[in-house]
Amino acid sequence: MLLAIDTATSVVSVALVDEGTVLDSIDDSTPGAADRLVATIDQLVTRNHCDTSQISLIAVGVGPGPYTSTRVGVMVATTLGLTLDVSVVGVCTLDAIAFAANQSTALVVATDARRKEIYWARYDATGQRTEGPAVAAPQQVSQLAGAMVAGGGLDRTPELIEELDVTTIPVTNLAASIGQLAHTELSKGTTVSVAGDLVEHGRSGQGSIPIDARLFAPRPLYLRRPDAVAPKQSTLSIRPMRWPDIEQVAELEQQLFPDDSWNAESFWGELAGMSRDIRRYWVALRGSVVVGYAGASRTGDSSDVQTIAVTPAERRSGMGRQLLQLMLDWIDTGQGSAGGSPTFLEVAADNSAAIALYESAGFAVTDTRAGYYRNGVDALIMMRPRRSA
Amino acid sequence: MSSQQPLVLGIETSCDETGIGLVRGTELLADAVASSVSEHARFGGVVPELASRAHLEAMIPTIERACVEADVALTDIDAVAVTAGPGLVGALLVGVSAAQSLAWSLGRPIYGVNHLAAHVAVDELQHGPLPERSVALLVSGGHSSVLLVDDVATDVQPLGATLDDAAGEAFDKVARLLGLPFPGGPHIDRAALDGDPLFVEFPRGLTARKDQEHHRFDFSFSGLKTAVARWVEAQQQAGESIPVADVAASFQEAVVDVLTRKAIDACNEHGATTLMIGGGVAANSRLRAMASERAQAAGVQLRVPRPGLCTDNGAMVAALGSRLVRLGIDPSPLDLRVDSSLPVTDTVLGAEAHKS
Repeated sequence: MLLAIDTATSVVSVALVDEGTVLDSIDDSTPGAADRLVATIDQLVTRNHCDTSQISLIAVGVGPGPYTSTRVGVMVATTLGLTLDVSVVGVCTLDAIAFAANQSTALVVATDARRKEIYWARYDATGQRTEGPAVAAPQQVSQLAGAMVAGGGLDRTPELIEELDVTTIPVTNLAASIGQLAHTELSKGTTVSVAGDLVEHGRSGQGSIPIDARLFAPRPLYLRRPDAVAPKQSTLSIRPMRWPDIEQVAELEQQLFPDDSWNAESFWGELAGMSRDIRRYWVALRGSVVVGYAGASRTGDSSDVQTIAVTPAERRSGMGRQLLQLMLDWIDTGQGSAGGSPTFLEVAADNSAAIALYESAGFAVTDTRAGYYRNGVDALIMMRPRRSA
Repeated sequence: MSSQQPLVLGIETSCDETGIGLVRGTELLADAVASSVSEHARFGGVVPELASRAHLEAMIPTIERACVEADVALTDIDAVAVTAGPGLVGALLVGVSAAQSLAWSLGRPIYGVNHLAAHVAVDELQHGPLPERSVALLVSGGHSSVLLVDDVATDVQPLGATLDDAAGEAFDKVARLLGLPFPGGPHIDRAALDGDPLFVEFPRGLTARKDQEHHRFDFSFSGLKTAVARWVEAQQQAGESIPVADVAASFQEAVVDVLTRKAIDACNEHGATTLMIGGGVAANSRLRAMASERAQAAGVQLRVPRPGLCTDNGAMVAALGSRLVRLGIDPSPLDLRVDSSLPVTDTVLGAEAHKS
């Protein structure tokens, strides 16, 4: 028996589906319906004389839809999956609306995304999704005029329904459709889409949803980033490290390299080398907050990249590359044999992003030290050969 | 229920920490916390939608981590407790949804509990039950309250609270003014170590004689924050550099002075012999030192849980749940609703709670 849940529209919907046949369903559109989701599931299961042990699969609508209520459905589904020890699959709520509309013509599904926008997707006459899901103002959705529209996304703008001459199709029992779709896809052997871009999508609103994805990991399809604006003064700057930075740097070091961190004293020692021009350290700041740092040593006939660190939130912004370039430029402008001397560094063998960065800057692996780091990971020794003056 | 003490799982998601605690009787078995604080740092404060997304991502792994840590199976749990308020609605709802699902599928009672009462209840895990008449000072990024606690599970009365910013919020805002990172509390604490607390005499809110009548145990930190901002501005306009350590120490002294003064006054007024301090700001070293000094002078016993139990966590929710179970208090209804401004007198959501 399959338990199906959808909370990604203004209606909370639950259903029991057995081998593709809908046994029973409940739609709850009263205020606070999401708070009662579990109580509603209890009501459904009890009135069908079922037992939680008979639930063998859970399907949940993953939106796109209102964030808060969509999360409730996903949280309940995944927690029940944990305690009942059954699989949980996600179904795009817009797909379920198209299925529930049960039309044999092309169709647009639209639900209310607030801020005068709709979540929408387009389906062909066979029910296959051909565009979306996406979020946009209705005016920006092409070929909406004269279309069949299911999902109630235009209900708040009756003037638009009239202007575009669309035919609206009401749908109910969304969970029943979620359950039937999940059953059909699983019977066909469809696999769950957990592509990296989809995961990223869930987190930050980037990436795109494959047009042929039918079953999803049970995570909301948010489509938008969280509304949050970093304070204005938070511009990024890079400058040489000074002693007042040490406290923040040591703390970041502790967070980023908990197993092998340098303490404040080590950084004091390193900065002491700056006056003799055998060390050079930089900090990257977002506003006044240290978000990255790096340092190199330049002694006689070889040089070292001592450390390079960037907070997770600032990665992939090119900051690491910028810091590395500053270090290499400094090494290359050294006096005498120190200038452009062979440059070494150690990097954790599992840190592929860093390794790729170093390779692109001319470093190559020359040696491995097994179990070098305290967590047991190997260190790779990388070297950039001497630069000719 | 097994013959041994009841095993209670507690869930906390009222702000930016996803906390799962497991408590058997008054013994802490596991305290797993996943924090999204680093994701909020660049915004200088907690972003509710970011926190809610992080709770959903962290919930199942954190439950699993707690069970492994405590070496128990979910089916061993006798009751589920969850923070029902006060807090961020969207964040609370994630925890409550998980709790309802656990309770229903395991066939166990659910207790929707008060976040502030839980901050007090956690002390029982470390120092044993609070004596009948105690005063609790709760200070965090979201709350600053003085409570009269006769029984943390059944009888908690508010004596005072902040009229504007919470103490932790004031720390965050002043940290930002001084160019220190978020969260401000620990950074100001550390910067203040090298500073002169008497460098600037910042105002002590609601301590004037006229405030004694209506706001004797209330706090106000927004005036203090503004005073710091003006001072910093004036220095900058005069082309002077900002002595960060001294300003941090002076600001911290003003906050801690008012907090401890009012808490001890409450103990004296209500004949309480024990003062308990909880919430994230309880980790502040100056607050601990001054409270200890003043409590000793007043003949009051001071109890402060270790820092890990002071910040938001699931153990505190489990601790309060455990006390409710042991006292035989009725559980909450399965369809309990979150209440972002749940009054502290409602230590647990009762049978009628869903109708309010």
